[in-house]
Amino acid sequence: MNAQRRWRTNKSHLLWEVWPREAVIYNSLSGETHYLNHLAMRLLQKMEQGPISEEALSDFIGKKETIDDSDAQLKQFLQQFDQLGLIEPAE
Amino acid sequence: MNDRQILLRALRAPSICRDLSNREWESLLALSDRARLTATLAWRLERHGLEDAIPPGARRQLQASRVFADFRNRQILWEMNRVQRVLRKADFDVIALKGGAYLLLDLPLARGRLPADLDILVERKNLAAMEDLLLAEGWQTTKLDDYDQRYYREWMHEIPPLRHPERKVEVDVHHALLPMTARIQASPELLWPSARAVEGSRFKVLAPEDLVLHAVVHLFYDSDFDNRLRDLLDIDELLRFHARREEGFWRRLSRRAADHGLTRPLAYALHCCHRLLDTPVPADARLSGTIPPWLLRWMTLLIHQALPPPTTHRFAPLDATARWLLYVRSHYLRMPLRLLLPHLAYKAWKRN
Amino acid sequence: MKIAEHSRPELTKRLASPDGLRLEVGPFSVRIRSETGVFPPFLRSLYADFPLSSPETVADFRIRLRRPKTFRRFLQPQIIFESDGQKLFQPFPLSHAPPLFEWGLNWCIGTRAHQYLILHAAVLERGGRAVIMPALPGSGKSTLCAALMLHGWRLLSDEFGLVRAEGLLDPIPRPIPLKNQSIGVIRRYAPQATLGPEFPKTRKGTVAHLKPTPASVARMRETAEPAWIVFPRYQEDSPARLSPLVPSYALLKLATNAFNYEVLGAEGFRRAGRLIRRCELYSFQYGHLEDAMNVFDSLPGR
Repeated sequence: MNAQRRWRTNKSHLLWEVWPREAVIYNSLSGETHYLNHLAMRLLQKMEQGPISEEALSDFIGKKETIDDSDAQLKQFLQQFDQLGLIEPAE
Repeated sequence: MNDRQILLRALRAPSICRDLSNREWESLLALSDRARLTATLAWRLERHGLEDAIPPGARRQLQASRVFADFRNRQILWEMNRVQRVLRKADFDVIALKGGAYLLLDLPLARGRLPADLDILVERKNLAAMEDLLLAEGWQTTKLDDYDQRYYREWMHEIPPLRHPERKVEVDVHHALLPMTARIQASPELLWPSARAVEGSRFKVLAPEDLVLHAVVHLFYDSDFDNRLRDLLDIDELLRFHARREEGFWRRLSRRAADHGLTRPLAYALHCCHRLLDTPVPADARLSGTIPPWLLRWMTLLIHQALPPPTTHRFAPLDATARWLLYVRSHYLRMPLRLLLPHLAYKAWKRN
Repeated sequence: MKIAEHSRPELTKRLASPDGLRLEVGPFSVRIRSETGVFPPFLRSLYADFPLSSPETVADFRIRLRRPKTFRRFLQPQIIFESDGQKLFQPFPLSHAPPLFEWGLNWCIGTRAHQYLILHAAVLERGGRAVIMPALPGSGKSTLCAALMLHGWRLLSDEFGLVRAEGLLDPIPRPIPLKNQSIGVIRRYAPQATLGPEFPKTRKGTVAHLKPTPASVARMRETAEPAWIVFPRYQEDSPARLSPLVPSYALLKLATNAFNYEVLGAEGFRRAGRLIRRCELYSFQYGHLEDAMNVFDSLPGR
């Protein structure tokens, strides 16, 4: 993990259907629809509020969720989000 | 009204649509569908404020065609987004050509187009690096046999098309606008210094005059003759758009054509646009002096015949001949004759 | 004037004329030309209650059933489907002109009518409320749809959920193609029902078409409000069981199963999302049509 690297979503391009513990989103750039579990949903919602560093994201899920090896999971999520074109590095 | 020319007439003067019978609307839509120009027609009608003159059945089809064109444009933009992601690792410039450029520049003609591929241009020295970057990120060479591979690499101005297995858009990486073996060469080294940056994008686009000349090159030098009308409309729209916005556009265009050695093809194209689509080309910008009048007339006739999509019910030998002549001509300009004949023979054999 | 009010020779003549016959099918006007004698009787019996469109309409689809001009026509007669003069599929045996027409018209609608979000689903309505049944493999959707229509529900469509921009559903109550065992099942369930001829050895086995009820056709200009989405699953001899469905799952299933969800893009997502929010969502397992009818008679709604 690169703690200082910052990410952001391209806000205007995501459409949401949100339920209490899950969401389905539409990426209007790729035209793809994705299912988000609770953690993925919270992460992406957090990034929608503005560019954020990996360190801050790690703190965020550390506080809210009790999960093992949360940094490894975070890294995996970010990689997937980037691959799907949901987020991009914030300059 | 002659069914076969109704599409060209409606594109040239959309107001004729006020007086179409329902049968004529049906002919028009059948032809525009076949030429893949229904969405372009829809936008032209809207720009001329003719929505109220469109009967309900036709309106539904025009609306649906626009939804589909948006979908295709979205796919191209997404492919550009994905290529841009790969370019995080590169430090050279990349130019988006044709449909991709029209979308980046948000030109009016982009809206109804149905681009099939993404065409990009890199300098020849960066060609291998570009190909490697794409291959490393999952793009694959589309299935080609050895002959086609060699054809592309040795004689053409692009590497074999690449496609990402999860997506449908092909990426064509070019290093010149015309094949290496073509008799006439647009000079790639001229393109780069005048290429323009686009805000918010990693891609650059060609300068306006070069955009026009590239469309001209496409009209005459590509071998797919089913969409010549599309190419002519591109030129028409680019001319209308830039002539209005760029001071001294016509003068710069003819000078640029001369620099590239493309004066003749430009003269043909301007003449055709003016004659067939009523494009407002000023008389002194038509380069009429550069070509014997009989040749100009002959080319215009040839193009006019080859433009509309073939009708299945009527056998039209002149269309077929016009198409064939233009096809041979485009290959003739593309390759020296000694290379041309074996290639055509091979393609013909392959088709059987 | 309705199709059935024209004599067979009259229909045959119309179909063979250069302008063809203009049929009103739900929201679409279809111009049909046909040179084969196999087609008019099918049209006359199964589309009996459909009106002809006014000659002033611009047809949405322009279709022609044509004999190919090759020497094969003498060996084994064939028929091809043309839309705007373009041949769409490989030729069918001549006797299969009716299923070819049905299949070809489906293709035209599914690939072109992007003014709608086009769900791949059966849709029926009763008391102003419509139920959408997405077609998933093994769902037995057509059988269930046929039985519900014969049980008094209004048929909107066996194949297409046409979702308009504002969320209402447009009907297109065409004949229901029943396949293989379903043909016998429906004959037994409703001996009075009108079925067309059986076409053996099609791509999907034996097919016979069930005529839509006159009430369904008479109301084909009337939109319906979606109220339920039910994913049916046929399981031999299973008791009927209706269970609530997770909305996220229903949304993904509905979207991926639509014909043009991708083409519509963000608009497709919005329409599908709104549909999920306004409907009750169920999965439904059943083994007997009679049980199924009872469950549908009292579908819990808001």
